[in-house]
Amino acid sequence: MKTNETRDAVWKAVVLRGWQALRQPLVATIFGLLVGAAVILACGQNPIEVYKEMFEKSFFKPYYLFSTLTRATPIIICAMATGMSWRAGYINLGVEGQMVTGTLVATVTALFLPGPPVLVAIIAWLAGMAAGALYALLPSVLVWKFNVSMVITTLMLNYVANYITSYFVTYPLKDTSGDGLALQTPEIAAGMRLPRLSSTSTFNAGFIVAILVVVFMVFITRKTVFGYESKMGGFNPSFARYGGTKQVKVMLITMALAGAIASMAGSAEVFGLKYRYADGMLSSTSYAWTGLQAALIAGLDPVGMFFVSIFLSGLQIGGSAIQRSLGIPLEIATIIQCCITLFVSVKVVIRFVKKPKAAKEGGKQA
Amino acid sequence: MKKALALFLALVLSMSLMTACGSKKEETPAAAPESGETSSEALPGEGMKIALVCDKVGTQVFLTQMVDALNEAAEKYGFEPTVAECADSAAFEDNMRALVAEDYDLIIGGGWQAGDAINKVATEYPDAANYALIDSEVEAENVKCISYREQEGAYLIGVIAALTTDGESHTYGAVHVNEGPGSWKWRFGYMEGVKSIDPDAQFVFNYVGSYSDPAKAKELAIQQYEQGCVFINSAAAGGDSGTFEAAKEKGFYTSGQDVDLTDPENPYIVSSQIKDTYQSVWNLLDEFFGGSYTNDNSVWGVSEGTIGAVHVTHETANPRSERLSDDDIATLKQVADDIRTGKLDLTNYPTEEAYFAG
Repeated sequence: MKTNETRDAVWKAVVLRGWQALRQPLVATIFGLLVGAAVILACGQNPIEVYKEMFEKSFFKPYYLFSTLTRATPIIICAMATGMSWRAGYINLGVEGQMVTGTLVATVTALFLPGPPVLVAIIAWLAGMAAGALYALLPSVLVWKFNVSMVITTLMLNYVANYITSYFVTYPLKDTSGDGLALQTPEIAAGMRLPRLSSTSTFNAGFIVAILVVVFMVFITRKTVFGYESKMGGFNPSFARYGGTKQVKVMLITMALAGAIASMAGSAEVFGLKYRYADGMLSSTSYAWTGLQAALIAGLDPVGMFFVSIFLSGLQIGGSAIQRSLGIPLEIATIIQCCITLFVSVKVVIRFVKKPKAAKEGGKQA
Repeated sequence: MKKALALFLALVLSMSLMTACGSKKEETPAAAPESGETSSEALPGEGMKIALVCDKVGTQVFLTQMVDALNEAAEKYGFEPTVAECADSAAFEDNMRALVAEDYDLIIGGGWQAGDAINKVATEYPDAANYALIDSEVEAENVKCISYREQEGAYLIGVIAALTTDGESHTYGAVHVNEGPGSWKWRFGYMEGVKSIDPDAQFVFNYVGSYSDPAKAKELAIQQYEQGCVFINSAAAGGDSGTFEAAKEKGFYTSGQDVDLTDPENPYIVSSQIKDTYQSVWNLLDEFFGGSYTNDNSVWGVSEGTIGAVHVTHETANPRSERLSDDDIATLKQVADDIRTGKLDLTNYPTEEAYFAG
């Protein structure tokens, strides 16, 4: 009897906990889909049919599910990079720049370093991670030494990275075979490419890398002193300092890790899918920003970010499917995606407004 | 409670917004099935599916022309047309692969942006569909690549440039996107065209380095004007509007490319080098249903009606600049005829190195 009660209580707690974690994103998703339905109605189509087609061609048919997972790979990794820095309180908007820099370095290493392909590929990934980390350290040092704004420096350095890589791809690294119109590097050797996991689609081992990054994130955040320290720094910097955390060290390590992870997103795309670096391949696809949305929707929880990234990627794949087959504008999927993010951010604002109130009440009670 | 109200209000607001802008679009989906029904009797393309994969169409005339041709040809041949617009560089391959999985019969890549994707997909699934690529060339054998003899159009523009300048200056300008083998065709044709009228011609070429940078194109055009150019050919893609603006401000003559860019508001745009994608898609589909379709690459020019220049091979409703007299036009038409008949053969042209060495 007693054990039954405890079990019920535990069960209840689990369900409640799960519901609390999922409630906000779920409600936001439903509202997002409702707004999308209004838009589809306005286009003169039946929303239920469109949604059926959209989800069938993003999650429920194997071919499209694989496409969704393939596109989700860089998004998941970008979400992790965002999560790594944001949970420590560093609003790093430079994931795109870190990814682009790291990826270009990885590609160049893969193209020009002689040696056995597998070894070169591993060195290339590591070189990319080092470059991404260094590029993330640049704004961190500016924040540390000159107390500039992290948000603005990281955001602006995206442009710097995009234009510099654009230069390299347009001039010294450009592939001149064919008619030479496309701004891209030559292809990397076949032995360096990540193996495909499906015979019918481009689904590749990059997804496994993404899962490993998620596992790494969970481990870091839940099991290490560093994870605890960086989280405390995010919650309450004064408390963390009082508790003896070396804040500068934590910031530098956090940002370097974020940059290194970000570079893996692009490397997975180059070594798993494109086999070359093309101008704008990582920025025009907005991987970093979709990853940021995923991180916000999931409240920076690694496992949550993983699933939300896949969901957002599915919206994009399904969005182009309905554009192809039903002539629905591509923007519909974007509208839905943005509405979901919007409704989730409503939560954030309300929390900010409520916080002082709760603190006041707490103070009265004490 | 407040929260729910706020959400509801936001929803209503966004709904009314969407309905307002959505009403315009209803015409297109309604018109398509009707035309399909009227021509349902045993057309050669019955039950076939043909897709065009391209950049976001929007207002890019280069692409809207292809879409128009595809839809009109669909009425004639009865196939099911699809336009897969790609929002980003990854979407080209995603869409292309999905179209293969959806059993399309012919997949047309519209523009060089589709090149890499179609090359990969056609190599991987050689028997799944027919592949064609417009305005670019790739290695895959089973992709029918349609490229153009742009040098013929550029030659016509060169002649126009010399006739417009009328000896006022011997320096001729041109603003290009970048300095590659793709641009050499244009520069070569332009220089030859100018020299056929004005043998003492000198040239200034500048490169914007981007497909959409009007500000830089304008800056370069003004610099060329300061160097004494009376005619500056603009081949800067999205940057052309910058050159045109500079032309209007400074009063030099210019010409655009790809589609008819002449403008009654801007008399300085004398002509436009045509790359007729509407005609190209029609030619391609006529071949496809006419039985003469092969995977062999095609190079089309003035004689196929896909390359030309406004006022010479392609008419326009916009007024002609007074700098081009009737005699000039007669000369130009004669040049176009010579190209068509092969009397003036520009099919083969020297490499840049050879040209300047010799």
